[in-house]
Amino acid sequence: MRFKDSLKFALHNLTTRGLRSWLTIIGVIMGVAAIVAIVSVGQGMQQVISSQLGALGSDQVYVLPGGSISSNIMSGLGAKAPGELTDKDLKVIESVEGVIVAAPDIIGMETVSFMGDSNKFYIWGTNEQWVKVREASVSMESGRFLSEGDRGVAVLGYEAAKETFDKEVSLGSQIKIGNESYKVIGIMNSIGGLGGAQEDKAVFLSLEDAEKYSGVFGIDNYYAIEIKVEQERVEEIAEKIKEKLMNARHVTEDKIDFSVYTPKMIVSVVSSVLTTINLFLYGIAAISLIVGAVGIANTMFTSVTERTRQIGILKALGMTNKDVMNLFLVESALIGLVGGILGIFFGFLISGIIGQVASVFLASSRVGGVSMVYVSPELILFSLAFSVVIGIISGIFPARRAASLEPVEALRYE
Amino acid sequence: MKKNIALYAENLTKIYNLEGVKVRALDGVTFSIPKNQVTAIIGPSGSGKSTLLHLIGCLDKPTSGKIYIGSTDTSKLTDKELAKLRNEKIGFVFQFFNLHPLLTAVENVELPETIKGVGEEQRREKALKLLKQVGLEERAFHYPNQLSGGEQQRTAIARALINNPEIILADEPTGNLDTKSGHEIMQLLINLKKNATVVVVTHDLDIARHAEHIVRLRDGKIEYADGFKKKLL
Repeated sequence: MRFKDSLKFALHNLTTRGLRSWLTIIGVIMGVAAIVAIVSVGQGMQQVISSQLGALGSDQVYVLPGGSISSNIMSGLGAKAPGELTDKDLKVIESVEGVIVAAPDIIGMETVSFMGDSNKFYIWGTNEQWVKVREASVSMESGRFLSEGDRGVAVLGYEAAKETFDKEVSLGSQIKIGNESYKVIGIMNSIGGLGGAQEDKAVFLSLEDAEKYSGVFGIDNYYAIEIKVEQERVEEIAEKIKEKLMNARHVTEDKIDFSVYTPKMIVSVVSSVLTTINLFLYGIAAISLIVGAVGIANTMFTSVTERTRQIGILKALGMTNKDVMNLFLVESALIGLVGGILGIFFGFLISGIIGQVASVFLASSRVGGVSMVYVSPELILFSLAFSVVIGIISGIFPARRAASLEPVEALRYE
Repeated sequence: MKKNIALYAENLTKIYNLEGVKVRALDGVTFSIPKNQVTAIIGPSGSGKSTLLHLIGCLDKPTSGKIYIGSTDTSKLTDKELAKLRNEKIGFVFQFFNLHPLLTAVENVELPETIKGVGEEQRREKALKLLKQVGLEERAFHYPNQLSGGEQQRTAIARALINNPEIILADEPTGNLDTKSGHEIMQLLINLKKNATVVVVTHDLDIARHAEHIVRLRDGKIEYADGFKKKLL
């Protein structure tokens, strides 16, 4: 039998049992749509985070107190990690060959008031070197950044200045942090990022001023040291920084009390977390597709039973087992194909809605120029091929049952 | 095998296993069917007529014994070869017509050619010609449920003829028709013997009178085969 005729037969059978066919197809649509939506959001997130991490600067190295990720997380939450980073460590780092510039960070949180309106803000203490380290992503909207010897002055992130208070903060304004007044000398441009960058919501002070609001962190216990290094040798220089700091702090590898991160390492950690999350979501999507596949198998088994007599007629007229099998496989593949096409369409639609919802929550569905949802051509092709394969696999057992029917038995079937 | 023999069955036995009970439907049946004649297989209900027709039509396999169609020993054929044989050498006409309900009359007639892989244009031309021969050219694009019993059976006969088969096997072809339609169908079948061997299974002796050759079964065994027609009827 020619493929064209098998296809015609399959279409005929599917359209005759319209409602049942559509209900089966809906099962496939849901599975494929779930996969497309989840994968597109997952891929979008991966791209956004990659671009965000890229914006951190591929020439940056970070040194944090504590020798493990968990202690770094604790320190991020304001807890004291074992091992303190001080000015002495900063000097050691600056002396490493390949280091261009380094800046210390201390971070706390405090209520900031402006013209009677109060909000909680990150208080970010650093020095004049910080803008040089962050050269790639930070620029001033107005005014200037901190200089050596600055006291009683503040630089505000874009969101802190423009979008938090009832009235916009401008250059020369006086803000109150706790009980002390600070003059605003600079406002930074927005860095952007997923959910907005921390820096956009921060008030930058000199280390000495920020120390008052930063809890366990201070001039003798930095939150982190940010370092700009020669771009071509980031990993090598990071290794050198680690060695020199270990020597200076008299610690061995097994008792190391600080951590050195490069963007590559951060990307790898974040990517592995994202991959785990994505795998979990793919698992859920795969389950819904399996449900769709069971639906196809169920429909096809019912179809074989209902069409037993027809199969008998076809076999009596000379149809081979292989042709009978092909007839059912083409039918189940068609269910998969139609379900796949519509599933991709709906998946695309759902991911678009997710993008829109994200835009409401995150002010933009495009973070740093990268869309939060990304439907790749590979994803479309894969989903289509996958749904057809699922259709065929689901149809194999019913088709084999149809093919194995003895003509005389099939003809006797009532 | 003699040249004028279309089909030869040798010591055919068919035993069914019905829930552990062995039922001997045919028991050592040997007979031959002459070419280009109408042969009637007769016998009372449960005598094994339909079982015999299914075996000689290669729709079922005997428990033992052999069937020769022309010079072909069907016991040596694979399932695929048997399917090809059914498609090319045998035409079936069933009591309940067995038309495909989702296909029009002309598509039903085309079916053996469709299965064979013949192109649409070629098979359509042939099918329409056959429908004209059986007087159904006006009904070509009607579905089986839009046709009368007689019209459905005529469609089935046209379908049986499309591949120019050597043997036409008809199982109670008039069993589901009124007398007038039954007579017309029998006339159609009798006329086919010019180009094919016609085997009709029936329990109706009036129908059997049209046959030139008789095989009579009783309790799965041959009671008469050939030569006793006048005495028998």
